[in-house]
Amino acid sequence: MILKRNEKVVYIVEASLFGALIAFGLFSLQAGEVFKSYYIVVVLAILCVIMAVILGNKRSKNYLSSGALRYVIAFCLLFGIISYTLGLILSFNLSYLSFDLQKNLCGLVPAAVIIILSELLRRQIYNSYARGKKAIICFSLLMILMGVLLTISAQVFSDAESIFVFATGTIFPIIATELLCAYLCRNFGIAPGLTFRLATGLYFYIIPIVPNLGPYIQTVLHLILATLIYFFCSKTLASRREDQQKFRRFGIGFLTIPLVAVTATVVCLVSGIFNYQIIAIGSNSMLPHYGRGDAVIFQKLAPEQIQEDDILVFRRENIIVTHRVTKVVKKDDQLYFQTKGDAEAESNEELVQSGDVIGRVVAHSKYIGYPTIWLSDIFNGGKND
Amino acid sequence: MQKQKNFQIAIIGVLAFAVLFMSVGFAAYSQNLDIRGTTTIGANKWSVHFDKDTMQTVVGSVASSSVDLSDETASLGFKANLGKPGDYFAFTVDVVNDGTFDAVLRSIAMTELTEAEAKLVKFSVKYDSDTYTSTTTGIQDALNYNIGNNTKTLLVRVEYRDDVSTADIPATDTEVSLSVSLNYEQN
Repeated sequence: MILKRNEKVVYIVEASLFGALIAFGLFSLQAGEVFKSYYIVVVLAILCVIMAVILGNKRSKNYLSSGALRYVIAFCLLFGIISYTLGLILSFNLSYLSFDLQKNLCGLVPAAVIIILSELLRRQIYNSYARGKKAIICFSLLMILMGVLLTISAQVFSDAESIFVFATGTIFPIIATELLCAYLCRNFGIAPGLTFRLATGLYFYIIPIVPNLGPYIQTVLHLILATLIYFFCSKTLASRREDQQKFRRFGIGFLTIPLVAVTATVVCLVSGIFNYQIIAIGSNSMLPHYGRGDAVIFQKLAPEQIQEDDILVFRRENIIVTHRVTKVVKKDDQLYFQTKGDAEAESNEELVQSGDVIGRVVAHSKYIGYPTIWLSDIFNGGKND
Repeated sequence: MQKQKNFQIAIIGVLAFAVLFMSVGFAAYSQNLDIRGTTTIGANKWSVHFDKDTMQTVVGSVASSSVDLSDETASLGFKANLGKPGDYFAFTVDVVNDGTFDAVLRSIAMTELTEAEAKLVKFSVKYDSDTYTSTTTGIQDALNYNIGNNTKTLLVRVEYRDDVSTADIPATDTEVSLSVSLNYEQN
């Protein structure tokens, strides 16, 4: 009987939250940013109070919170260090809020309150109706919807690229955060998930300089952070259940080590933060050496290290071009490079200046650039012939 | 325990898939121009250019006009003094691709006119059979004209609007700078 009552209350609360989010989605376009945040705060606060009044404030039965909390704090600190180290290689941004106390508080306070209230509501739902997987999944979907609605108003969707960047750079981290928090709350109580969300969601309000890693690196780091915390916490859980010995680590390693290695290599090569980078080839100007759909790996080099017959990687306006060097010209102490595509009859008329040199092609691979070319076609409305 | 192990393998698989998907996508969007040898007609590359011999002026009642087009080139300039409302100046010129690659016109960009300029002049370009007229928001149309190794005719026309109100006619001679950029890519 109690379970049924709890079930009803949880579903009513979730339905109310869904309705409030739909209303938020419909009317938020006309509202200011401050109003949007406070609207969510009020909705969550009301639902928390309703849950507490009707079902009471049940204490969590979890007793492993401290172990998981240690992992969350340690990994958040580690990834902070990695992010700032990468910032030294790439660049840093001044956080636009950090030097304005009023703006800072206007952003920080509602964001922090939203995180705290949503985790409180999650804990109440999980504690009241722990066996209801459907209710837990529904709540996670609502949290993802809320995260998307809170961030979508700041987006400008001008083309397919911006939609892709939002879908991957914003929604992927929201989903990863939600899945991790659901797991942590279910198994370790409120503290680890709350700490994770506060650490990853609010640091840019507090720290005046943030690393400018770009959406790609930032998202990859966020996904890896969430996954690592999950793995270490699940090990804690397994060890607590005293069945760690049955935990066949070799099986997981055997299957996943190559996958992780390939993924890490791709991330390093695509991100371009190291000395080697991979790019897809979209034209056939270098046939028969390589052509459209192939990918080349190039090494970043100084112009002085480029020689005749090297395949030069250079920037021409907004284009990265890979053509073979037919002649190195020295004029007024400046190096210039005459280049030609292998498939072309004549050299390019325009000499490549030293400042446009990026590097030299060191390897190429057949066909693996096609996914990038296809996505590029989609981004450009299928206009590649 | 086996269930947990499978779940963890699935998590790693999903993570790897998500990261690889992002890698492909971000590589595509960060290099969408980079990867296909884009060029503009203003840069004289791979031999897409105007053909001087085909240039013909279609002069209206203008005081004086000139088109600056030297030999085989990829850019041209023109001047026209439009004395009164209704005057126009137009010329046609062929865009020739005699390079080794087929060329596709991907986009056309025209000057954004200011409010005041838009009241005074009408600036349009006819490429092949389609006409593009610049407004205060300019033109940045995505196109897909495959000119292969052929020739296309471009008509450029600038007109002193005949519907300009007396109040908008400037007291002194006014120079309006106009430009059009054809963005070709290798097919």
